[in-house]
Amino acid sequence: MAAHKPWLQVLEPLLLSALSLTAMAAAGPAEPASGQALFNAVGCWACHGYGGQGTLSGPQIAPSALPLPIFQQLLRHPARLMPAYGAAVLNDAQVASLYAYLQSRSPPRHAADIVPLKP
Amino acid sequence: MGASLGLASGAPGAEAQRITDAPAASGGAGAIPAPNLAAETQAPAADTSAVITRPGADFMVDVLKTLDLDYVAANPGSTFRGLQESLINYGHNAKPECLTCCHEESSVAMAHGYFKIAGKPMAVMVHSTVGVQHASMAIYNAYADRVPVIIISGNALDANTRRVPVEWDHSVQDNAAMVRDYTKWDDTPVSLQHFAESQVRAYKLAMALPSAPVMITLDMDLQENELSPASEALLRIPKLTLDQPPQGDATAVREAAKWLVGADKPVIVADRYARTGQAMPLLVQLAELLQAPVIDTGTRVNFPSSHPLNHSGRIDLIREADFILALEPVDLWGLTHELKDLVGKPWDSILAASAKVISIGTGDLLIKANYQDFQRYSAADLAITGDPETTLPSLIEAVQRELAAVAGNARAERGRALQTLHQHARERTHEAAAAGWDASPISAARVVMELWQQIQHDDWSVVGWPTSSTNIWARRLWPMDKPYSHTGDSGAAGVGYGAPAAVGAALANRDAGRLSINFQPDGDLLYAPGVLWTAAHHHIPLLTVMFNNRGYHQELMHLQRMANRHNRGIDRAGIGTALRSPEVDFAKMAQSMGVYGEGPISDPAQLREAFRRSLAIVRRGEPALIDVISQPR
Repeated sequence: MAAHKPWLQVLEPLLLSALSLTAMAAAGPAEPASGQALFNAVGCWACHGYGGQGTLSGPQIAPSALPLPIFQQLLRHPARLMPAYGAAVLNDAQVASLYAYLQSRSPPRHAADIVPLKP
Repeated sequence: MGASLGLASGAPGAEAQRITDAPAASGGAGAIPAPNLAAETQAPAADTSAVITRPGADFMVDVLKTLDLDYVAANPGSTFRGLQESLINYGHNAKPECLTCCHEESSVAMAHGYFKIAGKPMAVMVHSTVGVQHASMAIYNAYADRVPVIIISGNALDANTRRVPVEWDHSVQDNAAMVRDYTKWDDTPVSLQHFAESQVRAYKLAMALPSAPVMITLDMDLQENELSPASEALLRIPKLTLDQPPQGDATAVREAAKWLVGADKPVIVADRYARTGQAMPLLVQLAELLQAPVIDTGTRVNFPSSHPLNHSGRIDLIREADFILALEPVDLWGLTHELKDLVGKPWDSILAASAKVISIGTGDLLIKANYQDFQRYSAADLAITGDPETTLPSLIEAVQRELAAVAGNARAERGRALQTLHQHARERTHEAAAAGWDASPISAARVVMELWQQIQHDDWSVVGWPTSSTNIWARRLWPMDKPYSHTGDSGAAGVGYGAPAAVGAALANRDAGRLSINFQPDGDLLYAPGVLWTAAHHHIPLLTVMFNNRGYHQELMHLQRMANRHNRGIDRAGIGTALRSPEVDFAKMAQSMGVYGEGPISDPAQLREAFRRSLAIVRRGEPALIDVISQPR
């Protein structure tokens, strides 16, 4: 039988997560290089592509359009089919590094700039 | 030598080598009995009996030639040696022409793909027992896809005439038992007249809707023994008359028309709908009359992808619909519900509370208990049993009558809105294709559009495995507007289908003068790559573009899901799913079988010239393979 999670249950930990990340950010900047290693190690590439550009199985995440707190919350509690990444697999500092790597990537090109994709 | 041992061969194959490597026949544990060893390694003794001038198999060929079969695919097996000899000598290897296959699974999957393009069945010969076992997965795929395949299998029924020892291993009381759950009908004739009637019946039943594989088991003695003139004078080959497809009940069709014309948000879902070239124009006519969006599930080429009423993939339309017309739905429950692969497997209906569903289909006419391909139970509000393609003309007439009494321009407004949404969806698809355009490994969309630059003016057809990322992108980006634009679904998603189905479809396209493109996943090709040799041997033009992500990627993602659900990390998800260390060199594999091979290519800038070279080969009538190292999806 259907068992949908109410939105409030999602938003509440989101706010708590934002507070913890604010505290973490004060500890020092995250490194894109270590984030790239994590990207490959924990399998983000499998659904989002080797550059985070997005594939048929997962949306573009590099660069992410989400602020870090929401990005982390979605990692911990995905809304749909993405595997959940708990703190035992990716701690908060690692999430921040991963995020820094994604934000260091160039945005995708537009179809209008690519000859085979022009209307 | 495939599933069959080389019983009549003087050249021992691998199996014979295994036997001769065993301890000497004269002693020791595991010794091979001398008769067994002789049977596997020595030429058969001279046949001292009288020459047989008219074997029963000649008459079998006479029967087969009445059935409009162009090809018979087979991996050789001694239990049908009589029929095969009659086909190639008495029958002059024409209608049907023998196709040499390296695996029974390939034979059946070739027949499956061939039907998707040719619209008529291919015959397949399989060895008893081991050959049927090899063929079984492909038979299940064809059954689940409701595709007819004419399977002919040998067997040695009479224990008194079986040669020892292997013919005993390859004999069985009920040869079709293993595949009876997923064939429509089978028989084991005990006389030639019995064969004639059963073979013609088998063809008729295979083609009757819902179509499905059938199987005839031929006794070796029946094939090989003399047919005397006196006996032959009594034989009759029955006439083949194919059944007209069933049409939906007229009253129910009129009711469906009322519902659809009165709907504010009608949606048409076309699933395993299109059977012939008439299907697409009929559906276009109905959709335009109603100004209703069409969701083409892709199991067949049902509706032109460039038509503004094509809204395939838009689940939001299902959620908002007040009336849904489902044409030959494979999975009505899945169409109207969502089950999430999360802990507890939550599910719910996605329909509006007041939404009504009309189904037109033949699914309930062929359903068996054991294998669960019939999907989860779901009842339409109006269920019409009948072939939708045959029923659509009367539905269109009924809709036209209903529309004559309707005023206002709501339909026209709906159509204009849908046209705008179609254009927006197309723009979003192109933007999505641009993502990772310059990436290495190469994105699926880049592969597809680089190839498009060179084939867009050809009469082309996309064949093979339907869910490789490149195949999916081709269906999104190329105009799928002809009945043969792609070959649709595999049926039961049994991996190993793609490569041989592509070769079978390419054979039919060759006969129609078309260019065949196969977007080939690496894992699928590794099941039975010998089909590349078959393509080269029979000069079947086919461009195979590897989607080589070096892994069983779907399964890798399943392992990731399990590992994260168990909070154990996913860094070991590649164990048992990755195809690395060593990496397979598919270009060399192709070259080894006489197929032009190029790659591996991981730089997208190299695609253009690689496609140019390989297309030149294919346009000359030969197969070619380009190994493209791909993004994971």
